[in-house]
Amino acid sequence: MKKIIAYFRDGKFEELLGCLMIVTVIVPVVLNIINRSVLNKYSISLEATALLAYVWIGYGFFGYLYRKDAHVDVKFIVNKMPPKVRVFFDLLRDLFILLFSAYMVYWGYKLFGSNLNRYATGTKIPLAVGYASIIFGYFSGAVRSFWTIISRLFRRGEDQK
Amino acid sequence: SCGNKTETPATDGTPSASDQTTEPSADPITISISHSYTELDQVSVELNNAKKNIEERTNGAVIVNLYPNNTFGNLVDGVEAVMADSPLLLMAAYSQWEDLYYDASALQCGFVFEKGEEFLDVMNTPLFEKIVTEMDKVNIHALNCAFVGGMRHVIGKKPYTTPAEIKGLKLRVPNSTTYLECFEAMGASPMGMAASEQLSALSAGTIDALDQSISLMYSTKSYEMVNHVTLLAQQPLADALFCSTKWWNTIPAEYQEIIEDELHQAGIRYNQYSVENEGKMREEMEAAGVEFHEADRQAFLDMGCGDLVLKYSIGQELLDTLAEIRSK
Amino acid sequence: MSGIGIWLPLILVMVLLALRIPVSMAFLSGAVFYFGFIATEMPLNMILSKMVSAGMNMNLMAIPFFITAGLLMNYTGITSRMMKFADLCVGHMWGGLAQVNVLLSTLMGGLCGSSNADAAMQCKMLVPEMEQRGFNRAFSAAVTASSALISPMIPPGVMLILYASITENSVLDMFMAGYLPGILMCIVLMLAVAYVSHRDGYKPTREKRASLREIFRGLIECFWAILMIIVLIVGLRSGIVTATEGGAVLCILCLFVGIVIYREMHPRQLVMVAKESFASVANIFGIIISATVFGLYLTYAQIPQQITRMILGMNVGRIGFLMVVNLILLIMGMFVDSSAVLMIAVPLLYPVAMQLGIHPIHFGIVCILNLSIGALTPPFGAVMYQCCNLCKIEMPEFLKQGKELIGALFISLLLVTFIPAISTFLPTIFK
Ligand code: NA
Ligand code: NA
Repeated sequence: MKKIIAYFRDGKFEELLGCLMIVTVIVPVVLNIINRSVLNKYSISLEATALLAYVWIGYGFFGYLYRKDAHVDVKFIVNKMPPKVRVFFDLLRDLFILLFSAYMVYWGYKLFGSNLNRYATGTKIPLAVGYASIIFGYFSGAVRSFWTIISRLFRRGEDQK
Repeated sequence: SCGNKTETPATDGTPSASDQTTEPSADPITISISHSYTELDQVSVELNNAKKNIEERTNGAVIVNLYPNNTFGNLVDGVEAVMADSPLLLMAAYSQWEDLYYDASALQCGFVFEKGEEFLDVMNTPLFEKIVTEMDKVNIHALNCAFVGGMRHVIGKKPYTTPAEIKGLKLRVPNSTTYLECFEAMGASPMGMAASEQLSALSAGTIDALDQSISLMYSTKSYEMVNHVTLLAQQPLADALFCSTKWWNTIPAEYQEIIEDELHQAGIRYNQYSVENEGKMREEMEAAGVEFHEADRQAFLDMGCGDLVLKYSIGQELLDTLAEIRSK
Repeated sequence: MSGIGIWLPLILVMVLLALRIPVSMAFLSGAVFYFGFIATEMPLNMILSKMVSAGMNMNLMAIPFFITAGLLMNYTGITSRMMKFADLCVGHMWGGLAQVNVLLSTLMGGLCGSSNADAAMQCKMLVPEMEQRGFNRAFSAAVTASSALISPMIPPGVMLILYASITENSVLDMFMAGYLPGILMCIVLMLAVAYVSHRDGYKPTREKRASLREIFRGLIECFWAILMIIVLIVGLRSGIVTATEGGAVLCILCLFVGIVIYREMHPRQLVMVAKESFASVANIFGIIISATVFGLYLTYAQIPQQITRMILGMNVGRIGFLMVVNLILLIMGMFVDSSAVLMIAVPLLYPVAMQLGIHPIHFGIVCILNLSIGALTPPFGAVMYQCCNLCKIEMPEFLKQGKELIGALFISLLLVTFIPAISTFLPTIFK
């Protein structure tokens, strides 16, 4: 059980998913190049598949990047703050990320529902697949920022690793 | 946002007009118009005229903001915004609503119309009335504004006059199933793409041809990049302005009338402009080295391209209506 | 829709950035705040829809391919062989590899269609190599970022096409017009690199020029790698393959050369490539599409119109107008995707430029150069953020090491602004 939790917590699952997604972006495009240069055909469904996987990469890994602290952000201002002030601003940051992520999950869910029967042009692939990335990415972001806040508040006394 | 497929309140006509004063209130109604034509295209020019007239005639109670060139989102975003009852008029083809009302696509279907004028004639028939009513039922209100810019042809690297020549051709079409199906039936490999991306795709070689009306070839300057025009006239270039019925019904009837009238006039003026200038544009393009080719339209009809429209439940009715118009 | 309200989202984004909120989330927050609290008549559905539709754009597809290709080149041993060869050729010069970096961007210019793709690949491929040879990492990143801005200028840059179609000018004229300014940027940057290398002591790695024999032997050793790059450049230049396809073909060639010929690639490394690649793409693409969503706010609030009105109110004459346009576009270019700004701002400024007798092609080149440079400067320069992230450096360090390079680009901007012939010479003689 612990192993399973760690698997998800440490982003191993997202790494697997991310690798699958990058392959899902690359392979359909390559197939279409072959399709077009050899068979004089072009598959719109393959194109839509690649594009939706691309959208997935754009939003689906918000929580993963948060966990790895790999997001593009502006660190130097916070770095200049005295440690005590910084603790406060870090908490504020996590709180904002938690709230905004939760908000995105709510909207993502709404749009997911309304796009179940709308398709990427010329295909039978629902656009809801794209909105699912918003739900997944920000949900994992919300859970992780929530966890960070909790552990900050309750482990304040202990030494910070 | 799909929940409001139920009937709109029966208060159509003059719903809230009685509550509103006729003088310009402190809070004007702001309407956004979003479209994909460039700022210098005649469509933009006429929409700007309509904007001026609407603001004047309503004494500033209605303000119109124009967003050309897909700057305020592309068609997909626009559709989403309209479905969510935004104060937005989206300029699009009827087929853009095929997810909500499938038969709307019949109007853009391939090998139905032969001339742009026929589309205008159809707009005056009971059949068209029926389409517009059906769309209102799914909360899409069409402003009957007649932006008809002739027929779409194919402009590309080579002439594509016969099924053999068009086989496998990579070309750009608007993001809508009816365009894709039309060219697939012709044997080409169409790609759906936003208008704002088509020129870069043509230059990058992602595609070899575009489907454009003469006026679009002229205003987007695509003829400087590829110089063979095949006069296929496969589909009409006919756009209207669409909005949410629910939102439209919140506008006082007197303003509705002014808005609808001005936009309709703008469409008619645009249509006149393209009819009168198509010849001139063609001459200018020919002077720049563009070659025009007549297409073997019959060969495509023999392939069954003309039957595409029959899969829509109003297909036969549309063909009958056209036959009647042509017989006059 | 007036007063201070319309500027609030902009302020909010800056505050959030200062709080170390991820750039992509800061942009989204700005847009959500505007349409959720200020322009409440527009439902948020549109914002959310844009989040997905902005990503469904084939023109952005080149980015993952070039990032992956850059990584594959590293893992397959292609990069190190190529760098050995580059060292043989330019190792006797001051700042040799940095010059290679600039030249490579000029040669590949325009073919990725965006500075982002070009910068992404070279951050992964060239920067580690430069660092290994003693270059400061931030300087390496700055060279990569600033030389990536040459890409939009050299045909077939997307912005050249966009400008032509917005203003109904000739696409071919714009293409011809882009070459000289692009080459000018290349020369100016190479001079700046030489200057910094002298100052910071990026000594030549070789004592003297390699003999032709040595170069030939080096060429044999990295024959496949060089052939691959030549095939790519020829394929892209001649229009046989598109940028995305070029990236895809490059990936496949890398795999082939790495696995079959050099035999340095282990299947486990493929997983590493995929992992690194998806994380980089997630970051970069996340920012690009969020910035597009943020652009909806700028458009709807008519921010560019407001700014243009201010310029027009100043009545400053031709030179003054060009200077003000430089300033304004530079600032706008810092905020959102440059092609979005191009579509919003150019239609407003163009008629005035024509009235003042500015050559339409010249004006276009000035606009595009401005918007590109904006991508390199704070607070929102997308290329700057991207390179900082890919190379793991902080913004102040980036600016400190890159100030000479940015300065050089500003000099080329001034030259292009005040010497119209740089832009109009080629289009006129090829008429
Ligand atoms: Na470079
Ligand atoms: Na750019």
